[in-house]
Amino acid sequence: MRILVVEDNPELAATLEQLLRADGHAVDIATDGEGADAVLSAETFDLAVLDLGLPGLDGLEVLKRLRRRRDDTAVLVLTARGALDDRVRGLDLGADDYLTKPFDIAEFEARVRALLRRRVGAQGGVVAVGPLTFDVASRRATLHGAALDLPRRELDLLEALVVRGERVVTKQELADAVSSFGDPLTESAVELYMSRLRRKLEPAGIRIRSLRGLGYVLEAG
Amino acid sequence: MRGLPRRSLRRNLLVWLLVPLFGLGALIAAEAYYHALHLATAVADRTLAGSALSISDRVTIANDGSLEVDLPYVALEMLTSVGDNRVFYLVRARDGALVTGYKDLPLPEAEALPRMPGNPVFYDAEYQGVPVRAAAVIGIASDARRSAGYTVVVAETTQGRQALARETLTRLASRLTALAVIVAAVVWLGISRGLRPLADLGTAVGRRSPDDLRPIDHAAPRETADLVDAINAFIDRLRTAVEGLRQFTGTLGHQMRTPLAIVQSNLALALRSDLPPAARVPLERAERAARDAERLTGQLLLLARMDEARATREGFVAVDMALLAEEVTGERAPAALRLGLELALEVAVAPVLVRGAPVLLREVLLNLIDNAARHAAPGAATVRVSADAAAVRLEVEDHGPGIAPAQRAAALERFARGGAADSRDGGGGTGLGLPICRDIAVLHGGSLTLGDTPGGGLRVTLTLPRAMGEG
Repeated sequence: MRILVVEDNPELAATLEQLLRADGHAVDIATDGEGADAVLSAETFDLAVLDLGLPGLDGLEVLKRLRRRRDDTAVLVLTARGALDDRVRGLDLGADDYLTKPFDIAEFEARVRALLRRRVGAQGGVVAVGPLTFDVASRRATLHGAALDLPRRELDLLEALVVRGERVVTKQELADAVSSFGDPLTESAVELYMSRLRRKLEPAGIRIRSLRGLGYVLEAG
Repeated sequence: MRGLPRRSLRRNLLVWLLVPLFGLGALIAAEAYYHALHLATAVADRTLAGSALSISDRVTIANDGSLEVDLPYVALEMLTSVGDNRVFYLVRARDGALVTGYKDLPLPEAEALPRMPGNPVFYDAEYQGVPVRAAAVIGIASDARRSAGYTVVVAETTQGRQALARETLTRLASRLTALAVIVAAVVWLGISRGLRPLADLGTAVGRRSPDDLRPIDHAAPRETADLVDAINAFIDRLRTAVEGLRQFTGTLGHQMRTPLAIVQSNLALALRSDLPPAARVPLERAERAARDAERLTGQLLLLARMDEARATREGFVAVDMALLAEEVTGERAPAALRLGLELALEVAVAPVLVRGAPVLLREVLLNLIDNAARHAAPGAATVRVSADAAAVRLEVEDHGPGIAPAQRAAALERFARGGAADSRDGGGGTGLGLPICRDIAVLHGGSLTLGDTPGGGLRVTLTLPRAMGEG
């Protein structure tokens, strides 16, 4: 996928570029706000990694202009740790996720994966989690290339988990995602379907971790 | 102040007040004494003169030509009746012949003698070893054939009038002393009362936390306005200096983070490739050190941020601890899982509000979760929110090695020796995380305590006062 890294420190930008290229993405770099704004208006990206502390035009302004153009490029905001105001403002302005600097590279990769997965899901593409693929448009899942036949409820749950990537999905979120209009699903029903789904995926190395009080996380490998 | 002799304001004021008061009192007493003496003398002199004149009236020429006196004793009794004065008299002819009386009673100097009959002169002398006051008049006795001049002296001892003056003095002195005592007492109490606002001011300043650098707006008496202004100006300079230092720390932290992040992420990147152990081991060491340095920098930044919040006490809002715990725990859960720590959340009651700085409270939980991830993974940790009427408790409980009770106090000290070399920190810890969390708790009027997880492990409890009313 195509990713723009907006970061004024060239070393950090190069590091991020190397990380993203290693995962097979096409990476462009912008080192200031004006440059980022120009590139983002001219070209299409799947994801922009946006540092808020930029010389010239600041990151929040770049984000604001992007959304004003009705551009739905996924945006991962990088901000100094503890700068909650930046976080809140960034999310208000339409950032899809934020990450505080400095970060673990594994964490960075996970966030990028999650955002891209969600984007693919939203666009009706094929989301891959390890040996599992999920075609959002045709609602078909494969495991190691073989078709995985699942009842409708389990398929709904799997989709909800898959498009949210490596984040915790609360039971409430799952219930909301799975319930059809006029047919609400209780949290205990969610637990029931989830345990069935888990039994089918675990032999293939796909784990659905249940975190008490928090929700579920899909883990590959 | 220590080492310098402390001078008592009260004593100073008393000395300044009482010394002039006593001086003035002495002057008043002296003036009154001499006035009384003068008055007594004037009154007594008139009586003396009256006696002398009435004696003079009785001097006649005898048949043989000599002078004789028919002493009017009443005139002398008038004198002796006053106190226990003794009275002396003397009548001498102009030629010096004694007519009657105490012959050695001193006469006035010749030139001081009155020229005219009926005009008495007064003088002080000594007679029989005691001081006397005397009145002298001259007279001329005559009959049909001749006339003869004479001098009449009446003297009385002066102890009577002195006693009168002394009595006046004594009464005045005792009143003045009473006045001085009353004034001293009033001044003593007045100073105590007058100084009370200063003492209150001192208490108010003393009660401040050391990092509260707001100006004093304590109601102080007008006379101490200069002092308060001076203190405020000093506080202001101090605050500027402290703020400068804080900003420096913050800027330094920010500037250091990017290079550290680059070092850390590139080491991690390098470690992903196939490396011979001779390269991998030192790189791993370097990566751990970079992580520690990064964490320390982050904690320094947090420290600067907290000091700022403590100094300004701004940005405190109602925070739902249940929601905060859910957000932060959920957010950190995937990363914790990658490190092998399975997080769980238990919320007994929601929402539970406290008043605080959301950024700082969030950092406390982030720090506690990171702590658990570093020391208790692989394993599990539980974040628990509970509350009673007065307090909200946030617990983070892991099943790691824990901290021995004897080392818990040290673990909460900034850069404590025991903390830094603690086995929990694997030798590379910074000893800042828990102390900062504790400081944040204290800043919010709460506390942070270390305890045991049942079955082994560390349980950190953050207790904050519960905010009521809102939400």
